[in-house]
Amino acid sequence: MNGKNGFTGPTGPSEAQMKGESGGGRRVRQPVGKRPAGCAEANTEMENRPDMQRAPRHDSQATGMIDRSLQAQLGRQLRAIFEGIEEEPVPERFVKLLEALEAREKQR
Amino acid sequence: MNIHSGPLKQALLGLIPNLRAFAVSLCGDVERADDLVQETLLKAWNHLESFQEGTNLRAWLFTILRNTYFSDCRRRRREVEDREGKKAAELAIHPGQQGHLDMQDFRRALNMLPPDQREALVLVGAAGFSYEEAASVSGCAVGTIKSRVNRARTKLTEMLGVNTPREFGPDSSTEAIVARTAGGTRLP
Repeated sequence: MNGKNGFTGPTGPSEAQMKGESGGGRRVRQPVGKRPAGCAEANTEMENRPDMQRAPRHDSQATGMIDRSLQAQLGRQLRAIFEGIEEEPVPERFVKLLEALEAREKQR
Repeated sequence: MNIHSGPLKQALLGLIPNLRAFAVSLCGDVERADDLVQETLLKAWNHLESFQEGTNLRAWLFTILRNTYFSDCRRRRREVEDREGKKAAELAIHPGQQGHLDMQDFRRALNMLPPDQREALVLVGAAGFSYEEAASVSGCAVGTIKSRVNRARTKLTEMLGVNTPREFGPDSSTEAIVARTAGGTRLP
């Protein structure tokens, strides 16, 4: 699925982001508001530093730069979704399906 | 021993919650997920002779489910791409509440990941598979799984706006967007 739109690396904008962007030039700024307070200034500073713009991109390095607590938060949300579904009762259709399969087997 | 005897039915029943969780996380749609689970159960039952007893039944079922999902995806690629485009637009229009990671935003971002990255992330990050087990479920190398998980994590943080792409060093297309946003000023 990668490779389309010249997507070549882990930090390139996804196809979806590119599409979303075409709706208006202001979109890229939006995520700024969702960053924890205090980060905006640091970011502006970083944008003005040419050395940051040429930082090499490697998965391990990028991952290492991601805030640990943020990673933990993403992990918790992922598990919350997963476990939320796990806790749901087994839908009746599957119980019936397995019973039907078993019954068919016994007839053979 | 009859391989279709009661214990198998019980084992399958016991694994359904886990399979459903995997299916929903993978395709982001409960209805489609339950169709995937149903197809997986049928295939498992009908091809039980290809399951090696004593090996991991859960991993075997996960493999069937993800293979079903991905061949399904190939068939409906056009449709899927259209829908993801709409999802992207929604995410752009409704950025969610400020200051914390909204669960709806997280779901949307998860659904926007490339399916192979989402799969790797869910297998390792939620279903509790080791990198090795995940690689065997996905039919790829361990290194591939690791790289997919890393890319998925990076992309999620980017999409959720908790880190800017710039902090990882932009590539040329990101720079182009940033430049346009900044009012057409070209970056050096």
